[in-house]
Amino acid sequence: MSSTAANRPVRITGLILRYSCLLYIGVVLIFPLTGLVVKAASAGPVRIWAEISNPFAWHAIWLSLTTAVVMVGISVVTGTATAWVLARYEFPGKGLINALVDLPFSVPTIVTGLMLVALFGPTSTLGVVLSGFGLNIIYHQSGIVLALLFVCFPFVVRSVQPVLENLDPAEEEAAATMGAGRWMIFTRVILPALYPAIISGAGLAFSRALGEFGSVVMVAGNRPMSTKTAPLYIYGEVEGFNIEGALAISLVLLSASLLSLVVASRWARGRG
Amino acid sequence: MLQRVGLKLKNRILFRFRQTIFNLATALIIFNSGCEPSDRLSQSAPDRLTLGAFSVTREVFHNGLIPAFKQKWLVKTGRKIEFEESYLASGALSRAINGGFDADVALFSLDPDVEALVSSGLVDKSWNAGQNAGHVVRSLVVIGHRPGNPKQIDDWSDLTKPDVSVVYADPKTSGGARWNLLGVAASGFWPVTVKANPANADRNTAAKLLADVQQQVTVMDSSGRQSLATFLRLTGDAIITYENDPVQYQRITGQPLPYVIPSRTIWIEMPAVEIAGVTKKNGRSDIAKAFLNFLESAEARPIWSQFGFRPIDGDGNVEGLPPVPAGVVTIKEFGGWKKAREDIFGNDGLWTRSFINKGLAQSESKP
Repeated sequence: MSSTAANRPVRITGLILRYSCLLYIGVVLIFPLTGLVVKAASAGPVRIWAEISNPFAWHAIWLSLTTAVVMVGISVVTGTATAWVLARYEFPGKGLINALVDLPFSVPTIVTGLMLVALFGPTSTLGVVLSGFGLNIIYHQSGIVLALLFVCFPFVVRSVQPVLENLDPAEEEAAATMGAGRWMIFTRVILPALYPAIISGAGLAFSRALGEFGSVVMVAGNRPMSTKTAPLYIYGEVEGFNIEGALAISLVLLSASLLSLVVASRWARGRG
Repeated sequence: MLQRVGLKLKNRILFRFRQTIFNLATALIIFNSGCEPSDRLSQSAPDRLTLGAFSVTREVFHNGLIPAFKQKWLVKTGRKIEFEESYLASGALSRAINGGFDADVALFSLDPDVEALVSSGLVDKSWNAGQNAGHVVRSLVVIGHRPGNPKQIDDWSDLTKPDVSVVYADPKTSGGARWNLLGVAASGFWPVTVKANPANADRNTAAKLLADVQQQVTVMDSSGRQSLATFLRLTGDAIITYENDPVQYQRITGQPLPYVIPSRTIWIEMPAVEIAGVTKKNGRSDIAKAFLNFLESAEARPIWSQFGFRPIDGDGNVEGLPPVPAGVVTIKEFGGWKKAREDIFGNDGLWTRSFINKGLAQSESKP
């Protein structure tokens, strides 16, 4: 550190890099988000509160939050398990599976929705069989969770996997020599090391899910007070010329997302 | 200081945003109309007319009305006429014209889209003074069902049966869906007494039917076209839509899409106007008026009806389409568009309240 500090040219490049990076973040992230907040705030707190407390808006926000929480709950278990399998086991086709994990990022979400409707929709073979068991998925709240599970699948896997791969086997071996069983090793040795990664993956998945539009618009059915999520509600308000309503609900989503990310990163750091 | 910077920032953002939207709209229009350089000054050049119309009328204009008018114009004046056509959703068309799209004549699906142009001075205030209040053609709100009518759907009440699933578009995003739901509500607004005074309407009947039909809805897509696509993917037993939609679909694809006209429904009246702010500048006012007259004329009538549209005057009965039932209301019985919007779709409207009355139930509304 002290050797580079004495070296002037390196410091200048460092400064340039630092400030151009900050400028970039400002232009790409902070500028548009501030615009959104300023525009929403110009409506005034009374109007914003009226828009949020409207039962239709409130239900939409509540639905977005609950479906995101359910999805994160499932994703944490399946994502950690997937990361575990990919990090710890060798099997034919592992490279392919590993590559498949990222695919949900590259499929346009509306195509995801279309695919789910074709697969599980009320007129598909699978849909007919499932509804025979009383399981209606598409155009119901469970369909929203299903779409979110697909779209957000990579988050937990990709944040846990590298940590698992870099875990020092010596700790597990030490625990084993002291007589710990496999379950005990997992819960007392491995899991504590994974917590930060799991939580940050969960935080990312949660905030991504709050704003998900493309896939949900296809599978939800868009019924007010039933399956209309907050992003769908916002779209309706924009089309219906109620820009204040759209901005107010966007503000709620933005705050919830920011809060979840901050809490997740704090928690993760506290654990680590 | 900070506030002023904030304000400046806001204005700049707004300005950029508007500019982007404007550029996009212009690009879209140029793309759609295949803009040709106009050389009006040369005597030998053909006459020209720019038409903007809402999306579902594309086929009837392009394949029916425009070729017929070209022929008529040639016979009458000995001159050729070229059309530039642009088809957009009704609201988007209105916004585009307000933003500078120079259509000479425009056809919309509802009056408020014209009124937006009146308030900006592009359309004459007296646009609806004529005999048909500015409307050139109309259609009915109908119920489309599966071939063979397995669920025996004949009227609105059949849509409230527990085993029937219904699709229509979201009235928040679709002007067509607002017409469709007014068709459902027509049951409460049909009596002759309403004509004298909208306050005499049987609001309870309308509210109950709106709520009971909504209860059976599976999907609410964002536009009428998407709703039809969902229905054609075999979702739902019934679709509430404009009569011209199934007629046109059958005509184009040859596939069956049977429909019934409910005993009580509403006339969807579509206004066509001359954009005087444009025609005054380019001197096409006479052609625009001639074209508008043609749209209402007896010659145009069979062309409209082939594509499922009905004539604006008389009882609306026309060869090739089923008879019009007795209980058809118009937007007048609802007290006009402004009042209808508030009464049915406003925060305290009949349709809106049907969700509130159900309570903030976390459970799903579908059977």
